[in-house]
Amino acid sequence: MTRSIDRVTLIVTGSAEKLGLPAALQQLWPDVDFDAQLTDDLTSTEVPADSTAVGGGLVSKFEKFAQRLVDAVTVPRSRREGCAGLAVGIDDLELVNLDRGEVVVARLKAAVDQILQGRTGDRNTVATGCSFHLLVPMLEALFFGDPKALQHAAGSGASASTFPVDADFEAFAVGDDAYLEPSDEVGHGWRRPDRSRHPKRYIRFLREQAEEPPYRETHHGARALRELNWESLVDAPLRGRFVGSLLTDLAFVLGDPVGVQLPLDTSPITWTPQHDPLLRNC
Amino acid sequence: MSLRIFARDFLALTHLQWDVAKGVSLVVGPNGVGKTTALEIPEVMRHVYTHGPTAALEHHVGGAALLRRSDAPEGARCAIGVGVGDVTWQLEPAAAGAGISSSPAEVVRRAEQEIVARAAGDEFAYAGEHRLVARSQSAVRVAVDDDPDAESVLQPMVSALENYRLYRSYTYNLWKLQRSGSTASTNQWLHVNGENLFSVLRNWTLQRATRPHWEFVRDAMRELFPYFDDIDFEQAGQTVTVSVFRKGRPDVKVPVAQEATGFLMALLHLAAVASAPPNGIVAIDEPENSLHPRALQVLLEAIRERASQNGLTVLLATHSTVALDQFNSMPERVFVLESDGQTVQPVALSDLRNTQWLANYALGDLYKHGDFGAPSEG
Repeated sequence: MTRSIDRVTLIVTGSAEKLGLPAALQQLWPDVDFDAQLTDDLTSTEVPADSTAVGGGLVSKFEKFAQRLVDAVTVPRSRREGCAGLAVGIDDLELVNLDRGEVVVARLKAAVDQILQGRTGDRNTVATGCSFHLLVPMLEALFFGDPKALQHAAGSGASASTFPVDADFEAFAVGDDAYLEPSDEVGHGWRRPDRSRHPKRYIRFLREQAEEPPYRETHHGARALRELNWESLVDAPLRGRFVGSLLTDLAFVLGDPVGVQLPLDTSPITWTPQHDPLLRNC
Repeated sequence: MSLRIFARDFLALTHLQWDVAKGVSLVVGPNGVGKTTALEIPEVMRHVYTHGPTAALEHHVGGAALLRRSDAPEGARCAIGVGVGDVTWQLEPAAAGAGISSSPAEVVRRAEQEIVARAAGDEFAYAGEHRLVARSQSAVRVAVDDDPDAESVLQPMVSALENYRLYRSYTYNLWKLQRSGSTASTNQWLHVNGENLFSVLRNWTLQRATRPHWEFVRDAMRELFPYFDDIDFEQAGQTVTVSVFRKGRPDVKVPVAQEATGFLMALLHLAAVASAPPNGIVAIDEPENSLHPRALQVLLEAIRERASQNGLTVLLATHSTVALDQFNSMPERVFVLESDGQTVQPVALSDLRNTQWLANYALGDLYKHGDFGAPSEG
């Protein structure tokens, strides 16, 4: 069921996404304007299942994120802009929350539900106009599914990385001995215990090995994202299923994407269209 | 009486047209966009009035080559100006050889009618009558000095400029204050470098008419710093310094040199605001420096209350998300300077964004995330 949508607002939590994701998605839907708003991330610390409200006038990260998402389609940000036709919230599902995707989604939905209390008219707008997706475990994982993007992010020598380009980047794990070997040497930001499954740390390592300038999200990350080859991320079964959810969700409204064949494998966490949904995709 | 500040192609500013209302207003925006310059313009105009165009502009700008915005269109002339009531004074600073011209174009309008008009050069007309300007003076100064009629028309604007002070928190001489105190004087007004702080505070305590200034500062300091009780002034020779009494410890005096930098910074900001006469105008650049977020919140509340009681106009240039949060319910008092090169700046946040949308957020959060006043990216 496609609708005529002029503008899609992305609610994102990283500078690279803010700078790069609108252009990246516009490759797939050239007639649609994408813009991005930045807000606080949700998953850099373990997300508890209990959504005990933050008291004392403080607003939780989930409430802030949900407010952005709901407002994007219900309250014009300025007189000139008007509301977006579609809003998509996108956050990383960081390592500490890797097995808690359902919890993250449930917490976000609870916050949306709270905001919509007493706003019957807006419920339908949000249910048809808002969705929430996850990059697993983080944006930089996507670059390991596209050799060219990896070169933009990690430097021109990065194709020699030990992560196979046809593996599922959303289950990122490397066995690069030079990267993983224990060391007391200080001064390497990537040398953390969880590094084997951390794509951004591996990118930092690869750049350091190649004597390239340090990885900058706003420069290297944004460029890699802007020129991302989406097709290569989803060209094999059971690969990039969270990305598959995102593209399937958007295609449901915007029509078939340019250069990507549908249907795609999707994650049940972020593509479970329901009979009476709160959000479009879950 | 409201103040208007104007600039075109001056330093970093493309087109500034700012009507500043009484009360406390914030100006925010990326580094280098011209926030400090905007606050500096009334000070520049005051110095043009008191010291002449060349001395004033060399002091503030540094050199003729820097006057004009670097990417201004070829042939564009820079301009700065102020307005008070129905009188507007505009100046077109210009180079003369390697220096700054002592006789730039000037115009004063009263309700759209030109009352002083000076093309670049020595001559100007007041009310259509030609006069000669001394080379180092502004036409406005000559008109005020030589013509009683001009003086009565221009005096409200001149008074507003004379009463305008811009305090830059990063140029306060804290080290000297802490180590050497202030030189004794009869000053009733905090100098922009803050060096006469202790002398001014002491002078306020000595006279009934000015004692409320001191009481405002002391009471606000007690709220900002719960441990603080009072101050003792001490004079040795020509130097005035202070010691601090803490609550519940009347027997212990702490030399100010041992106080936190933030303590001294708050004292200076409060003294700056207390120095302003009724209906005066004060600007503070980066008031947040050295202050704990809670202290900054209390400071802003105190300044707001003082402004309300005394009819002050207070302009604060800031990057502080804490300061912005204090304006969540007043987006019309937050002015955003951005460098799009086209829009007349600054724009009130209530005009830039839908107030219904803004009401859902803390303004500091939006600023932090680049929703307004963000550096250009890419």
